[in-house]
Amino acid sequence: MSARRPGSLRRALRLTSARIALGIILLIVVLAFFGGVLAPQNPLAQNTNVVLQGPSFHHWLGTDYLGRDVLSRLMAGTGRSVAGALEAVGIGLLLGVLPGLASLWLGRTYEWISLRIVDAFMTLPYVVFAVAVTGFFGNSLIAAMTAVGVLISPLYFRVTRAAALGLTRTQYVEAAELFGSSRRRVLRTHLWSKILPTLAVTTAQALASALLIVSSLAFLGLGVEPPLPTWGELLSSDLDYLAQQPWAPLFPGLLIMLIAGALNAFADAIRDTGTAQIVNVDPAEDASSESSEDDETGAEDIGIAPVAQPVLRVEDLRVTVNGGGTEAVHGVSFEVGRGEIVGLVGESGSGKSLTCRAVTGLLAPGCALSSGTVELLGDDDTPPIKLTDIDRTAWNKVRGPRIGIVFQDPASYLNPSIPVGKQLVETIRVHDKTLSRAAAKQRSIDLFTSVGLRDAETVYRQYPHELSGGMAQRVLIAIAISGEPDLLIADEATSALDVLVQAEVLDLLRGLVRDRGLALLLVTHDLAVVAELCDRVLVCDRGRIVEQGPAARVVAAPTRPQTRRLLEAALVWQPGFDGVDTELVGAQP
Amino acid sequence: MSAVGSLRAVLRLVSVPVAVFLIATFSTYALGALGGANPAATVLGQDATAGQIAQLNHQFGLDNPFLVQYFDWLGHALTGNLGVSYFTSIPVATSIGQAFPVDLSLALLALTFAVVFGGAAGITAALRRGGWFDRAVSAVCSGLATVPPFLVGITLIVLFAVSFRLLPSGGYVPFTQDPGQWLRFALLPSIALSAEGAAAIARQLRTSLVGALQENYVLGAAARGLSVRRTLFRHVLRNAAGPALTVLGVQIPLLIGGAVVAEKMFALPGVAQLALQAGSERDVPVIQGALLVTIGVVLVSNIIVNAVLFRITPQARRGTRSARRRVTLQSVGGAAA
Amino acid sequence: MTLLKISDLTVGYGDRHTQPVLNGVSLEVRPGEILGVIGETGSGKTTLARTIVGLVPARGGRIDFDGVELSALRGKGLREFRRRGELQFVFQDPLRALDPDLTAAESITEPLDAAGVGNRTERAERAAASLAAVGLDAALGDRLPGRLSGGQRQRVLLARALVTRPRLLICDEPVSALDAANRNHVLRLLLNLRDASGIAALVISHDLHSLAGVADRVAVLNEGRVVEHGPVRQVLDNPQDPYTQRLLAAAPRLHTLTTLTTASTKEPVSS
Repeated sequence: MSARRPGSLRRALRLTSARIALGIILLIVVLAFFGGVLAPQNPLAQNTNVVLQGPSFHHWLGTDYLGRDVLSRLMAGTGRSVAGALEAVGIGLLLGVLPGLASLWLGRTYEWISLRIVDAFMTLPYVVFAVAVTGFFGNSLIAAMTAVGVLISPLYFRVTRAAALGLTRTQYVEAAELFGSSRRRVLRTHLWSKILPTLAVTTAQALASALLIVSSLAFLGLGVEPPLPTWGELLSSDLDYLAQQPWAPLFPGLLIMLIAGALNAFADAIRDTGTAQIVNVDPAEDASSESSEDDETGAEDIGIAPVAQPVLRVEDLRVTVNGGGTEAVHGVSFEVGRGEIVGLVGESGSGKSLTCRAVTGLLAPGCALSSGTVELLGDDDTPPIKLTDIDRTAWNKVRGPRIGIVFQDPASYLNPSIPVGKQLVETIRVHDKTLSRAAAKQRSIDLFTSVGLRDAETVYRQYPHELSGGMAQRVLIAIAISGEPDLLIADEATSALDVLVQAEVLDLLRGLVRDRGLALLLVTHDLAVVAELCDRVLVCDRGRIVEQGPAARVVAAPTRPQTRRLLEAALVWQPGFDGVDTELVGAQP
Repeated sequence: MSAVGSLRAVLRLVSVPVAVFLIATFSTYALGALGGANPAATVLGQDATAGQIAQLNHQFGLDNPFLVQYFDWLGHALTGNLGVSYFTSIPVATSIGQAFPVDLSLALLALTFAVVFGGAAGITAALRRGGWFDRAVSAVCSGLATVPPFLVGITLIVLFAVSFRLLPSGGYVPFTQDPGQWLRFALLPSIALSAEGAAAIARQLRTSLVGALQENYVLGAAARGLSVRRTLFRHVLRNAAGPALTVLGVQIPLLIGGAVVAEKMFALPGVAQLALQAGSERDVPVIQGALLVTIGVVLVSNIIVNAVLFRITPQARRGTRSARRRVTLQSVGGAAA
Repeated sequence: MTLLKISDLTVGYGDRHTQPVLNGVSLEVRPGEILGVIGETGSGKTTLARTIVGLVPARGGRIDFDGVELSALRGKGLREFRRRGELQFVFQDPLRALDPDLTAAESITEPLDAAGVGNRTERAERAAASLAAVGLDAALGDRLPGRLSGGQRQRVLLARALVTRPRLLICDEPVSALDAANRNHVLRLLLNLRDASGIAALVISHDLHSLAGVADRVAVLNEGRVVEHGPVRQVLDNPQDPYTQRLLAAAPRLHTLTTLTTASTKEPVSS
């Protein structure tokens, strides 16, 4: 009926590690049930003639201090040891899952009390508590395992609660509420199938932990009922005779490690294959690959339009992505001059951001500038710098003092745990080591004021998340110009801002260019912003510059279809435009 | 803030640890009482008369109402009186007082190892992500997570004590008596104890760092011309340390649990040995005392870790309600998953 | 006769002394009408939408829907009202508002399942009809949201809201997450639906111009108050309130010349 995703189990089993892990687990299950039967010799048979022998043909893993076959004891002990771990985990699950879910729906009092009880149990270490419980109630495997189980329940409580909590805050659960869905229906439709994988992961991990704890306890003599074999008891006697058989503890130890490792690997597989994939299926992208008309026009060589007093010169820039597999920018060339505002405009995926990143040396891993030159030109006495040749240390002297960069979503580009003023001071002092802290602080406050932040002293002390979008962008601009650069690059700097705030920031940028003679490269998808602010515009499409020229001309009379598309998209929102007309913007996707 | 407001704030801060303490200690006392063992009968042996038993019970205070017993016990405990052993008549506080420094010194050394080695491994692995070091660290961490704690100890004993005779395989000298000798005896057990913690810290730190290194603010720092070293130590570590610190906090009860095994293996006269011995004899006051001390230690360390977390997470300090709820060790859901 | 009547609505988070997010808002939506609510970040527009449908409690004022005092409904009564499906909410981000593990068809039938309407076949038919109404191919119903494009996801969201045959849609920024081409289509769809079935809508947006071709009337929200309202053309051409004027003036202008040529029609569009 539907193309539903295969269950979490099947997804996990696609990984080889999961398959191997499952194999090991199944083997252990077999041993647990049939270990005693499958053992080559009687695990209880003592033979004082062959005490403490090493591995031999007759006894593959040697014998213990009573002459019993180690291999057989190991196999026979599987069932008891595994049962103990299962019991503990079972108790933990029963005591933890439902109360965990209930803590979300039974009111604040229950929530608070149950959380405190959980906290209390988490302060008790497993082994110490088991020691105490067996001390209080007598030394039996059941007592020990119940103690461990009780202490495992907080884990289940928290995991279930956290998973459910995260899920109940999703919008689709909110939507379900708005349809009048009952809580039970919401649980059934949306929550269970998402919580189960988490529980499976937790159970696998808990089993591994429980196994280790069982063996530790048995090592201490707790929960052990000789002469019945368990792995921990084997270890305990191994310790007594360590001098004669130093390698003896390896066998039970390795077996435990193997199982614990398999369980954890299985848990990891479930967790790693858990998240739903979002495959970007954008018909618009599919459609554009069909039009051949655009390909022809795109192939023409635009060439550099020469500029008076260039600050940045880019020639035949090519950028590859996917670790060099695909070329995404195909020979872009342009210049930006002092005191001019150049717009680099295009739809998303046109390569404008990649170009911007390549020019500033900030390409993401996997992307590389494969060929072309990027030159930073200063005044007559400073030699030009080939930005394509320099390393990180040299870049640290360019970014800040020569090039200032501003991004979209400004607050996220600052350290969230340090006040913004301190970060500006840091930047200032990194680039000017002669400045004292006090002088740098004063300079920061002055900079904040100059970018239009009214209460500079207060802003100085605030954290990035406390600032509104517009304020954060002003802070970023202040930082960007603090080094008194020649070139300012703004990558979608106003795209996430409200209309009023955007207008103010654009004004600010215009003023900075005018007052400081900066060169400004503005990357954006909005042709209207370009028309409002820029002197020249470069239109980007699929990694090439398809049109360039004075902004006013390009906007008024575009010559390329790509530019026309951008224009039409922007036109719709303009005042004086009457109604929505589908013919204007092309076929239905 | 008003007087009422600050009182409310203090209450909110204090209510959680106090509630947890009460619940944990009550459980301890209740379990001990429920233990079923009639201590008077156990102490006096088979031929005790009913009258003698009743008299001893009264002496132990066991004929009072339960809650009264509990609060009596708790009150005494907080003033340092943990009762007297049923069997040896030595005050429990004395026995524990002698045994506790052993565990404390061991745990601190183990913690130091865990932080130093785990931290260094985690940071290096994150920086050289994908390289051989990273993969080796991942493998070792996964391995250490599944190693039974005693196995590490046994391996160390076999290697260093039995085969090469470099270090002793058992025994103890207090730090205050002879630091050099103390180190000789404490080194192997501490390393054994620290293994799991170091692995957990390394793994968590690596994950947090790798995540943090992909955050925008790292790009922002590069865009401002900051060096890699400065970005890492002044900015990234500060933000990524939180989850690793939480892991550290979770390690502390585990360290104490591991100490039980280490004490047995290396013949150390610690609290766990005391408790084990008392367990086999059903010596209730000693067990209760040992549990109480454990609870106290864990709670105190939780408070310290929470305080540090609070300090390095300004969102919590400024009181964003949701952020504050996320930060503290207690009330974080699913931290162990 | 009004379909939705909001009277003097006040909403705030925190206690009585904190600044309210909505401060005495009064609005009306008539049957078959599309009302646009314009506001920037912090204006309270999302809170308004969420309060109308009951996700956020109100501090004061009332909301009436078709004569029923909606703001007074609680618990069982509220749930029964919601199951009737006369009032539906369209979320802003389809990626978050759709369960990633349910197919499009399953998401669309969910409101019917919750209300216990009809049997399985009937629900499936209504879902298919809903899909068709938003212009999506029936085969897309079997896809998971992750395998749909942004525009398709938004339509599925719309289809889910339409399946109960509501009389009023509350749309929270229905097109903000879409690119320009898709925006036009979705807005056009709203218009068609209104013309075909008389459904009314309250559309929230941060951009006044985007609602120019869609809304009959608009209200401008600033810091929790309605500062201006009226027929859309009137507000656009002759804004009275200074905030509205600033809003209109701040939008970056495409044309610095007095005439523009559009590519396909080659007709001059006067500025």
